Amino acid sequence: MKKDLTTKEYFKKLLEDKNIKLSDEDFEQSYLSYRNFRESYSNLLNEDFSEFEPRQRIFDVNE
Amino acid sequence: MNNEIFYKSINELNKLYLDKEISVMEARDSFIKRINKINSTYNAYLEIFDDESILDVKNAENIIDNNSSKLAGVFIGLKDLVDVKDKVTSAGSMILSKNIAKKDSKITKDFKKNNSIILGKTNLVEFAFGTLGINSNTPTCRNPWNIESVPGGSSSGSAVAVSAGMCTVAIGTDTGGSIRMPASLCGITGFKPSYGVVSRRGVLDLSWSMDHVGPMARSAEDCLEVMKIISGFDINDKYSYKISNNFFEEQKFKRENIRIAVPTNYFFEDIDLEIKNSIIAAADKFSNLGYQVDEIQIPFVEDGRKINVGVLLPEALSIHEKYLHQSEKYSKTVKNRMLGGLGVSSEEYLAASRNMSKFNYQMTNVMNDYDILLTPTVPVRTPLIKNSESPNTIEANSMGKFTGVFNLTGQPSISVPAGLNSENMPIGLMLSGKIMDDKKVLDIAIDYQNNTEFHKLLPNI
Repeated sequence: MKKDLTTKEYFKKLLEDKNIKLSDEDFEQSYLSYRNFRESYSNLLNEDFSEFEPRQRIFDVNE
Repeated sequence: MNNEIFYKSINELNKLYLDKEISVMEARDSFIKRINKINSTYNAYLEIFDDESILDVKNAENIIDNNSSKLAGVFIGLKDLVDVKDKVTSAGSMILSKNIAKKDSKITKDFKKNNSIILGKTNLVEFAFGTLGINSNTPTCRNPWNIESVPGGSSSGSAVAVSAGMCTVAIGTDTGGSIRMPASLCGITGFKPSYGVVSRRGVLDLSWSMDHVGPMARSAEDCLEVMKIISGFDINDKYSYKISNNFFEEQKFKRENIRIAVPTNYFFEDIDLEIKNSIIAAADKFSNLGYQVDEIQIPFVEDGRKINVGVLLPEALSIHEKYLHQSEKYSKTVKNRMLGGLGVSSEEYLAASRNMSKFNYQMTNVMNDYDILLTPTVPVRTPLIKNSESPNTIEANSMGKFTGVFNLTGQPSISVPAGLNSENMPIGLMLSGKIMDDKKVLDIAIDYQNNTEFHKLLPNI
């Protein structure tokens, strides 16, 4: 509950920083979208790239 | 005769003109009359080019002969993200309601050069940011198969205009499925070309990494005819790719040499049963026609939607940065979805972008073994308009689950009709090919439509 409140306050601050004013109803809907997207980004940040480097080229120095 | 022209194909319309069975002016008058009669019900068009289309007709009538473009005298609807000189490009928004275009877009020029008749600007989701086709800023766009149902978005008006016989071809844009989703919901054919094959100059951006422009029509054959004139390198569009002169020319293929993969994970999980059964029936049809059809698993594809949204949101917010303080001018649905992307850090955007590269790399490996992926276009039944105002409904969040995968990879992807469900609403199937293999995707869709009747089904207007 405490974590939820903190996230909500942070979202409110983001809106204030951009000078965006919302009705209570719009705020709740936007916040719901925000929470969903936060979860997606946290998954994206945890992605493992250790076996992925498509631009890597392997040169054989003996050639 | 006049009552039949609304659903004529490009080739059929062309033949009527050449045989002098109808003049372009007579055809135009019929279309305009129909639009004036039914647009207040379906709201497919935001602006109708009544006078301007008369000038287009005069130009077309002077040149139509056996050597003229097949697109001459063909009736076009343009999504209102596409610039037409001296006309408003509103993007379905209040913010751009007075945004008059100084120049034609590249594709507008292509249509004019080929003497097509542009009938007007079509309705859309505000700033093309939404999947259901709902826009509280514009008159409510309605699905011709059931006017209480959403048409799908964001190219809602383009799909409805084609489905209701208010133009022969329409142009849509597709960042997460905005051509293919409404095509599926409205029972028409919608083609998203490979990334960069059609210039986006003069078309408003939503997400520069994933925006595509493409045709929506009654058949894949008509989509092909349109692609022949709107595709090609544009030096003024930095995202445009060079393609060969014969990119869309005749290529023979043997069905038995085409490998179609049906990915059974993700694309068949949590989907409507009638949609699932229609796609399985389509796979059987391809198999019976002689194509090689295999079931496969693509585990990584489950991350596709998440990455699509992860890249799209910060890019869309960046484009809208200058407008966001006027939040009261945005529709609730778009505002409340877009603002959810606030606070994305550069680290997060780069993570999404890098995931996109990894996703492409993995998909390329899959496509080394297959020519086509056969999937449903959307996972859910067409929702009712009255249940679709929130940006966070199950349908709004899941509608683009399958289509968005191919915006990430830039692969060519087409939605074609695959039947009707028990509620008499259209079901779409999606065929997605290798990058830059657009012609093969269209050819296979044409072959499917030559052997089925689903694309000929019409709504009761």
